[in-house]
Amino acid sequence: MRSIKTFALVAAMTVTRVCAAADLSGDWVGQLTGPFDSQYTAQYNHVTFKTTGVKVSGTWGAYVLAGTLAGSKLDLSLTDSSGKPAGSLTGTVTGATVSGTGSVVPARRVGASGMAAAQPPSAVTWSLSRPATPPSAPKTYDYEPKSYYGIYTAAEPAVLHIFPGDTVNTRTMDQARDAGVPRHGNGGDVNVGPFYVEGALPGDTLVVHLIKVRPNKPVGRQGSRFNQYSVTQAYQLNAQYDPGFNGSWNQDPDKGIATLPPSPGLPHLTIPLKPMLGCISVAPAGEDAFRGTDLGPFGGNLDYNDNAQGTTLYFPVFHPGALLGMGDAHGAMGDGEVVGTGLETSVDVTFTVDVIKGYSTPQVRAETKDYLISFGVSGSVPESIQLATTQLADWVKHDYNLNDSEVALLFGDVLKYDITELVDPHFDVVAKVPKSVMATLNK
Amino acid sequence: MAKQWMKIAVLTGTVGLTRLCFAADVSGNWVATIAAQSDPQYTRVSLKADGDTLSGMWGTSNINGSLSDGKLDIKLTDAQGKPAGALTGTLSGDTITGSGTILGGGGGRGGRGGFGGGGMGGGTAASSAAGAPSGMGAAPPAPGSMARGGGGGFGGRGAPSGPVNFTLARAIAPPATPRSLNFEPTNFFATYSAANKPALSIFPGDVVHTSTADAGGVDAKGVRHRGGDSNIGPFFVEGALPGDTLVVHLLKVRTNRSTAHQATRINAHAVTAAYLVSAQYDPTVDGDWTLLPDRGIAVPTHPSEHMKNYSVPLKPMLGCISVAPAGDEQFRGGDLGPFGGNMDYNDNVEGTTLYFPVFHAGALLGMGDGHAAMGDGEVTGSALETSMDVDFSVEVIPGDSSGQVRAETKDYLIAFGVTGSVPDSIQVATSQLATWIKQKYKLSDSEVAILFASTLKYDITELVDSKYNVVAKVPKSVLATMK
Repeated sequence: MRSIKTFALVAAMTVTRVCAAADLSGDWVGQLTGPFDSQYTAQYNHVTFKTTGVKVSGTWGAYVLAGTLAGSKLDLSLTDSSGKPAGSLTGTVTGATVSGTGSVVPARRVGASGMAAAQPPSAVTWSLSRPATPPSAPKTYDYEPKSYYGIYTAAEPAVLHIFPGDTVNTRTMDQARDAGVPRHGNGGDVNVGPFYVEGALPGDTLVVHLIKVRPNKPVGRQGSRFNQYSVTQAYQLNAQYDPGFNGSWNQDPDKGIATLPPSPGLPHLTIPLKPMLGCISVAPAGEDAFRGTDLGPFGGNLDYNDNAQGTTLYFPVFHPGALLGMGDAHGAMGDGEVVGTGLETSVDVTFTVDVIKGYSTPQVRAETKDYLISFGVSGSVPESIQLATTQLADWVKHDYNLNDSEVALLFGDVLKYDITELVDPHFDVVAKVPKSVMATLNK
Repeated sequence: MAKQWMKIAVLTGTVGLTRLCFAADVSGNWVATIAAQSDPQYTRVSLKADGDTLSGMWGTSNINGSLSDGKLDIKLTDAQGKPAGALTGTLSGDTITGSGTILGGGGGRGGRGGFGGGGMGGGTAASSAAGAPSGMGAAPPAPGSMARGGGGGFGGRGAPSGPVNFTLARAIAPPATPRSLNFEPTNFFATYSAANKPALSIFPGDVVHTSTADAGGVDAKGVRHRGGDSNIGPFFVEGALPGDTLVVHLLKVRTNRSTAHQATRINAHAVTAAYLVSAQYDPTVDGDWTLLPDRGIAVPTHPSEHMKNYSVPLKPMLGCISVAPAGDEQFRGGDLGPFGGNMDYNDNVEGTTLYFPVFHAGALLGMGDGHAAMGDGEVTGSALETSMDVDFSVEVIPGDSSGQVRAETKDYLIAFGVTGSVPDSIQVATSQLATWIKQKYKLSDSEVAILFASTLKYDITELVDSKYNVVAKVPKSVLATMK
């Protein structure tokens, strides 16, 4: 006890380096890089420091930290939520950054079971930098896209940095058919962005509010042949398609309808417009790179016909800034996208973003006026059903404090499924519960 | 009218004017039963006698010939005038029996059918059925006494070609006005099978007022009958033949007691294995429900703290509704298939109309397993299980049968797809719906593809029973704009 007092006194008397210690307080972004990590596979965490004299306390992601700052030399030890040692770090303060070396128990892999055993600590280099400071008031950006990208990857350079609360007015392209804009990346289903969301780190949830999704041209093109996953082989073999069939719908956003050019059997087919974004994504985990038509836990070509104006989406964040992108608008689309396309068109989009720190689920979630929604993207429809149901159950248990029996009862009564995507590289099924029924629960 | 003719026939027959009266006697609608190696086949026949001369239709074939001294001698020609067969027989009382040859699909329906992934039934039988004159179809012709037990599928190869033995029997005439029948079930069957003895014979247009027990066999009074997703019935629908479509209008489906019970654990097909293994179920959540139909809701009888104010909207439905499955097949009450059964669709409610392929004469309609409400997929393996008051009426559409069950609600045309996997069920449901819509609205393959691509909806109705069930549906509001 006495020795600490003495130490504090000495430290306080010992010139300017004490000021550096005080400066460490507050929020940081921590980076842990293993010997084989790239910038994309490194771990990034929210770090908070509180300094009292030479003592440093706080959190590093899910770990609790404690240590000392002696001069410019920082020593930290980490413990996990159960109090077990999780690593130690040493480093040096240089101006506004801190960096050093150490060893840390690695984070769980994406998708790892909660029951998996923790890994032993491994060597890392580490650094801390200050997060960007948000503007005093939220901003509104008019972002005119200059490029589009067709590969979901964290290597795609961000086109705009935005903060939670900011609003972006922009537009998406229909399969690279807008004139005068260079196409960027291979393949169709190109996205606008990516937008770097300040403050979003892996383990967080990126919240995207779709405030406006409205077609900005009168044409929506659609295929007219069933995909093989949507009908039986016998049907597919017998089907006699008209190679000259005109699938260019006329869209009237003011009336909220789309009409098909007359064909002998469909002289007046009219459907309600329900403009939606087929693709909406964050950058996939690590160094993964997927073509624009693909979909996964990062979102992508989810092709959900309720990803429309008014819907809020929740993405697990895999990289700093999340790297939000969107595209592949449909004027309307039936479940499963059974011909491989919706009414492919371009749309004006307005969105805002938010970040939920320290909570995320394995895949994308959403919320409409009526439903809480969980996506399940996998290599088969049955797996997608299970993933969607499981994620929704975990989310509802977390947000409504329900036990396993209560959530089972709830789902047995009121669960709904949508089959959203049958024809792309992965399958997508949605599980959802009505908010009207959720409102009767006591949290 | 028929009775009068018979009286006259008997009278005149006794005084020796046999030829005239026999010839006149046979005019009208008949049903031919053709013996086959496996299942009997049925053909609707209309006869018109003019003196000794006989004309009419045998299925889709034209009849030319004579009936003289009780001896039938006819030739069949198809729509293009080509020979389609020749038959001879003998009239005895109100039955004609005989033999001969029938070439190609001479209008007979039955035979073996392939039901799995094919969606709608096969071409030959379908076209012969669709081409049947509507005048014949309007009268329900199948006699209640007709032999059952063979039946057989629809959708395969049409009628046999070659020598046949046949029996012609009079189509039974419906009552002058549809009846309203109160049926108090005493027998509950838990195996879908054509061997179940009909509990009641009904005609198209009749309205039946009845009630079902819950899946465990407990009725509104608490009396326990046979359980295991048991059904009431079967109801023998006069006039329904294999290859026809049985139409069932659910006029009323209402809960008739204040209690329901639901299981409280999620089934293995609905969540991941990891979830299943780590789930910790609470034995105090007992799944007992109190039904409050006046308020249109159900509430937990012994709610946990979080569910003190919890309520779900009542949407009473029939989990099971069925015809007898094809041939000699038998399935337990929890199973489902092209015959319907435990389809567990939460839109099989009051106001919904169902369309069943008919596999046996009389169709043999059954129903049960009422749910006061149910989420998609029945993920806890049961819904709010309870008993129901049910009113229904039936119709028969001659021919027009599809591979599996179809339905219609206020808002949607619906096709079911029941198979051993969800992906197959999706394909069967989509294909059956596409084939139906193409036929009903005269659309090309491209037209139905773009219609579905813009408006199709799927429901996953059953994940936890012996087979999977997915529904494909299109909104009637959009179909109304097409023409």
